[in-house]
Amino acid sequence: MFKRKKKKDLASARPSGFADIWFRFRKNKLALAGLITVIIIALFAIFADVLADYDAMAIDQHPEIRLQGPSGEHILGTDGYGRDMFARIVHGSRYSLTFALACTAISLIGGTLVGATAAYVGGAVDSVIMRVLDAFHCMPAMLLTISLSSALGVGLKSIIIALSISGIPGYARIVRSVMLTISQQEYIEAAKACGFGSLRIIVGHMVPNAISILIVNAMMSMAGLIMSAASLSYIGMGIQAPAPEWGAMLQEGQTYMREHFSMVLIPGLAIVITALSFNLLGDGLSEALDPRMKD
Amino acid sequence: MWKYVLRRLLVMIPIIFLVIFIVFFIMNITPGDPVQMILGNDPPQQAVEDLRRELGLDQPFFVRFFNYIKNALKLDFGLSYRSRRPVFEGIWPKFPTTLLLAVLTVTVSTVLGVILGIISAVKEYSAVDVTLTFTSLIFASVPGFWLCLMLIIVFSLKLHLLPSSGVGSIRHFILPVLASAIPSAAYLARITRTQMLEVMRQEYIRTARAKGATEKRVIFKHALKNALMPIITIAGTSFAAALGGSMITERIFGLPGIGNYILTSVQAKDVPVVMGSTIFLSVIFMVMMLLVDLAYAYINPTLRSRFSRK
Amino acid sequence: MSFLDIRDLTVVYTNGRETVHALNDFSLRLERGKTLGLVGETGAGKTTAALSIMRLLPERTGRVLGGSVTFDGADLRSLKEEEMRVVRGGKISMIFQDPMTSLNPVLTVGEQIFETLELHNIENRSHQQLWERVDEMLALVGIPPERKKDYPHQFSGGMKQRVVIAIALACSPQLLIADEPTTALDVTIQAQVLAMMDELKQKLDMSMIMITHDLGIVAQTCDDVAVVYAGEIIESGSFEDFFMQDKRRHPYTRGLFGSIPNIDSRERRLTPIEGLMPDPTNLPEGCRFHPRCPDCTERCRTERPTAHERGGHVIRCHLFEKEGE
Repeated sequence: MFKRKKKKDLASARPSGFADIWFRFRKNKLALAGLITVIIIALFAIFADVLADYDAMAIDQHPEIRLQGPSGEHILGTDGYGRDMFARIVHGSRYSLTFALACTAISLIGGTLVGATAAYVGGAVDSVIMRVLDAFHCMPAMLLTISLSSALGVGLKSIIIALSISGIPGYARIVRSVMLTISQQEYIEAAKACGFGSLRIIVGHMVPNAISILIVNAMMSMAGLIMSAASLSYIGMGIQAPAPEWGAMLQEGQTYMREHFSMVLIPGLAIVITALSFNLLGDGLSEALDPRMKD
Repeated sequence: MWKYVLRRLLVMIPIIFLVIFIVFFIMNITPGDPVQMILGNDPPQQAVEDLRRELGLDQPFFVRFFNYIKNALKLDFGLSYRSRRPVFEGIWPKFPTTLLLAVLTVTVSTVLGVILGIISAVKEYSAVDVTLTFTSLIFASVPGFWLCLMLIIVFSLKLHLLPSSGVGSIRHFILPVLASAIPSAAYLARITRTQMLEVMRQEYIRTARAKGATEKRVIFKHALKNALMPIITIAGTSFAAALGGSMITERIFGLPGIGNYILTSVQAKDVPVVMGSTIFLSVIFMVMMLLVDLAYAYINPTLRSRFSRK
Repeated sequence: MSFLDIRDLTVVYTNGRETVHALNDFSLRLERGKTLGLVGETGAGKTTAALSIMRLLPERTGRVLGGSVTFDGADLRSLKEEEMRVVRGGKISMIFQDPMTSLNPVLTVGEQIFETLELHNIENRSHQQLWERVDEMLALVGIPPERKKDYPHQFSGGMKQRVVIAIALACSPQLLIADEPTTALDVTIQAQVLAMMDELKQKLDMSMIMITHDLGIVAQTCDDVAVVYAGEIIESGSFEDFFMQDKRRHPYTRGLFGSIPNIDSRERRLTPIEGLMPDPTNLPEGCRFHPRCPDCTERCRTERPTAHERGGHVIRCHLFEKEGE
């Protein structure tokens, strides 16, 4: 099997000092906008209870004020059960960010362990791991996630596990290929020739090289995770109504979409804005970490 | 060349076994009793035991797994829990709808994505380029199902131009195809742009210009063919993905395709159908990737010579 | 007027923040049938000069601020783009430095030679005639014509450069610009390729600009020599002016010639020129060379020297001012 040409040499993407990275990142206005938006969304999630009481505003039903348009009291209007849309969106951000962070962390750790094992041990272990990763790779990703979440039952924990497992193969491949590529670089040869132990080579040379690539991938995958989690909830296999998860809100809201299309517009925009911010942030980071990508 | 194809097909065999194992394992831990599902509530005790034995549920995990493999080798993938008919009898009738959707989606997204990507690259940093790049970034952040809903609201509910669900005419396919094609066109446009810019910097492009070639010729004859490689992979992958991954799109637009069928089966815990269709889609994916690699070799003579030697 | 006459050509590259002064009042003349060696360090502006003649400067960044390029009586800078395309590859051809990257990997070498012929097919020859010409060209550069169906990766570096030369010469251009055609090749192959180029030049009666930083190549192939430093010609003259005397010479050229080992001299050590080329975004006042010049005077620091000519030998240096009087 011949290898497809990598877009760029993974291993030579060397991060420079933090100040350099920040300097390059700052020049990218879109990336900066992404970062600021992510921070704002995170603040919403952290202070959700201060902004709106969960039970009173986001869960309790008030049929007498259902489907109202935006007003001073309900700046985004109310939904089909008379719940405040703004409160639900704000509390929904907790779900999205939890998914994004938890799944990325688990996939990243799991993927690194698997990939590093494959690259470091090599031989038969490597072949077996690679075939398993191939097997995961050729199953439709959404189908895998849906089957997993159906196996694990509904709920926060099961979505996180399902999405994390689906994410592991990708990171494992990256880690393995970075490690293999780096181990063939001349400076690793040089380090070996100087008599450095393998632990020192891994910690001192491979980890810093792999990290910038992993950070970029993690940022980019957050957007995808937020969207996948919402999709799962939307088809009823994730977080269930009445929880204010954005995908679940869309599922409830689509009943009213003929007359009140803001029911599907608002949660959707919340997803798009969040995902877009993470994408911009990831894009900016990848350019800042590897300046050669831009001319 | 044929040796190479044969080798690739042989590599697929262990992967297929692994796929079966993974799905079998996931299905095994899925809660819910198929016997109860088939027989309904409060069936006679004797019937329950008979069915358990018939389905092999009284056997341990690995015995059942090897029985499944043994039958699968005879292309027997079991009976659907719901219809009690062979699995593929349920899948095949759904295939044409999904295939049509996939073909249309990939055609539209590739044509659109590549053209927009070329325009972006040729007019680098122009207003057109900035707009296209930003638009494609936005579409990379739009969940597919929400795009479906938005298209329905605009084109069916507000403008009354297109049907929002069902089959019957090609018009029913317009919105589903748009919903699947737009995000992947946006992605392709970004990749095409990067690739074209990379290729346009190459020395051989300058050679072509120094020959007196027109800009059009430089772009289409000299640059595009070199830039196509990753585009083919993406088109191939997205075709395979469209065959299995358009579950939610098919569901929203009420299309009776494989995706919709699988989704219903997963929700109904119809294990044999989920297993059969996952294996089916994985095989299609692997064949697609083989075709992509063959297409590479066809386009890039450097690779062609490398693999004819193998 | 000379066959090729470049006057006061000024070219800059800008990327928004910085301006690179690549060519500054660059003037050059070349007579029909002659070979001119354009010599200078990396980054002096040799390639920029060649690309300016071809009007192939990077569109977004490169800009010609002034000056003129006259070729065979035609003002190249005022030609329309489609008229310029007739010149490119037809009347003026260019060979680039690296044969490894200057051939398109997805087209056969035959197709790439054929394309040039097809683009400049003024006599309306049939495809079959054009393909015959492809065979002829391959034979001319010493490649068996059967190999026209092969792709670039199937050729070695030297063979690739032969293909590049075949492409450049396919339409019998009047001027060939060779941008370091042998730098990327092995030494033995270099000699072969150079000998072949020289032979073909005689055979096809072309003029040639040989861009190089290798004085050996200049000595071997050139009738005239021009030395580029920081985007301007600081000295130009005949082969004899450069190689047969060593009295009247720009201090930079003196240094340049001092930096190649001479078997005849008893000097044991090379005398490299001290310092580096000036930063082209921030050129020094006065003479561009003054910070490195051993004969630098107060005047050199402030006043830019003009070109002083004697018998076709031009030097841009204050030291030679009095001679002209």
